Parts: sequence; structure tokens; C-alpha cells
Amino acid sequence: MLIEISGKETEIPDGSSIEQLIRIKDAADNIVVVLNDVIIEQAQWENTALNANDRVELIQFVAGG
Amino acid sequence: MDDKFKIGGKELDSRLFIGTGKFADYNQIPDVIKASKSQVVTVALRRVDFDIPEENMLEYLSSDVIMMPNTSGARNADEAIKIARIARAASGSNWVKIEVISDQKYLLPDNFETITAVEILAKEGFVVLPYMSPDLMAAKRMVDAGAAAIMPLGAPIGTNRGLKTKELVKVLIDEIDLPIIVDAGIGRPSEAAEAMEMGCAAVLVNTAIATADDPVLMAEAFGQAVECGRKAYLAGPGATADLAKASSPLTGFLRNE
Repeated sequence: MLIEISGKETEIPDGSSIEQLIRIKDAADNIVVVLNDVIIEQAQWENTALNANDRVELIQFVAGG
Repeated sequence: MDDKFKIGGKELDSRLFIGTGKFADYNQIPDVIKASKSQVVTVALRRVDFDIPEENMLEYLSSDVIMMPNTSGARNADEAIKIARIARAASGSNWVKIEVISDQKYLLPDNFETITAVEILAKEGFVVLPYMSPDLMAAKRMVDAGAAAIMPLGAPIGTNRGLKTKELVKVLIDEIDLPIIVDAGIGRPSEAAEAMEMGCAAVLVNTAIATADDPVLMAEAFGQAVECGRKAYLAGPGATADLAKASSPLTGFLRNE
């Protein structure tokens, strides 16, 4: 299925959870996941299934003043 | 000398806050923080870009520093609030530096939008430190909105031009009953010391350290300057005068006077 990750259309296996998405993308654990404008706590990543056309933002801390 | 100051329920020994932007190498950052003795460090948030991976700043910060995420990139209050909420979820820290900027030439903050963001985030339990243009009436509104400190700019971000807003910052120190922390523009340790001598509670320095030839040594210099300036403030500088006043006896023994 197609979802949008950080503004880019991305194909992922049907029924993937956020946890699986993190593994597929080889992303670090210390990031924030925002699913359709809602912050998903890390404890819920495994239980949160993704649906086609979901908008996922993966956000991390970077350098800044 | 016991001279701690308190923000958001935290007692701080160091009055130097450090920004993490613009370092040539993230590996310098832990040494910079250590050399400066800073306890509050700013970070920013960005989308993970899988095509151009960027290192996660969390890897470089020890757990004993207070992380103060900024809302860099926000052009209005709504965006700043959204970034602050994400930052809290990501860091567990409820400190946030509100930075609302829609002017891309001078990067001057939008005080009006900032006040709105402060009000909403303070109600949500954030420790809110607004970056602002040093305007007394806007600062008073920030106090009413629940700010934990006021962070006026010394000069535009990243310019290293020093305390250009000195007179206006003095007014804030005099009139605002919250810590005044000069953020942005401070380019040299002497300028940080000057801000502290005036009575600022702290200063936030980034570019001046990050772009120095030796950032770690410059961080140490800033740490010492902030301490010196603070001590001078507490010591109470003597009065100035227009005419000379001799420091040594002028009645000598060479002439009969």
C-alpha cells in the first residue's frame, strides 16, 4: 500500500505497524512519529497499524540554536 | 559563592546556555558543553530525510543537561505550538524556546505570534522561554502569558555583532520580574560579560562558539566571561564621573603646596 512518509509517497507492505515501518526504514528509535497529525507514543508503535494514504511524519532532533 | 538561579523549578549553577547549530563536527559538542559548564542546551527538530540522513542530536547530549528544543521554522503561533508538542513527546523535556520568525532577511522574531504561543504552551505545562525583540510592552504580555524567562535578542541571529539592543535590554532588566536572557547576536566573551554586568540572568550563545577557530576553547572563554560578568554585577560597579578623580594622593613632597 502507498503511504506518505515525510512528504514522500512510499510503498510499504499492507497492514504494517509503525514499529514495522521503523524497522523497514532502518530509522532510529529516538524519533517522533506523527500519524495524520497525531503524535504516536513509542509504546503504541507496535499496536498502531498503518492504512493506505496515511500521512506519517518521522521527526528527529538536529543541531539548532 | 552560592548564586544559583531558578527557571521552571530547576536550579542552575551555570548562566550560559549553549546552542548546538553550525558546529563543523557534532563530536565537538560534548566537549563544548563540558568546557562551558553549560547546563541548558538548545536543539531543533527536523523531518527525518532518508535520502540525506542527518545525525540525531540526542546521541551527543548527556542526560545531565536540560534540553531546550526550539521552534525554529515556525512562522506563526500554531506552527510553534505544533513543534513544541512534538519536541516534548520526543525529548521528555518540557522546556521550549519559542522562536517564531517570518522575516527571512533579518530573522527578527514576531512578538505578537510569540505571545500567543507562550500563552497556550504555558497552560499546557511547558517551561516557555520566548525569543523576542526587546520591547517592554511585548515582554509584559509574555509575563502575563506565563513565560518562564524573557529572551531578547542582542543583534540578529548569527551576526556576532554584540549587544546592539543594550538600552532596550536594560529597560527589560529594570521592569520585568523574570530572568532576562540575551539570546542571539553575542559574538565575543566581552559582550557576554557586559550583558551579565548589566544584570541579565544568563546569556545564550551559539554562533560565536560554533564558528570560532577553536570552539572548545571559546566555550571555556564564554563560561568564564559569564561568571566574571555575574560577579561584577553582584559586586556593584562604582559610579562613573565626567572629570578625573585622583586615585593617588596629589599632594607630593617635591614642592611646597
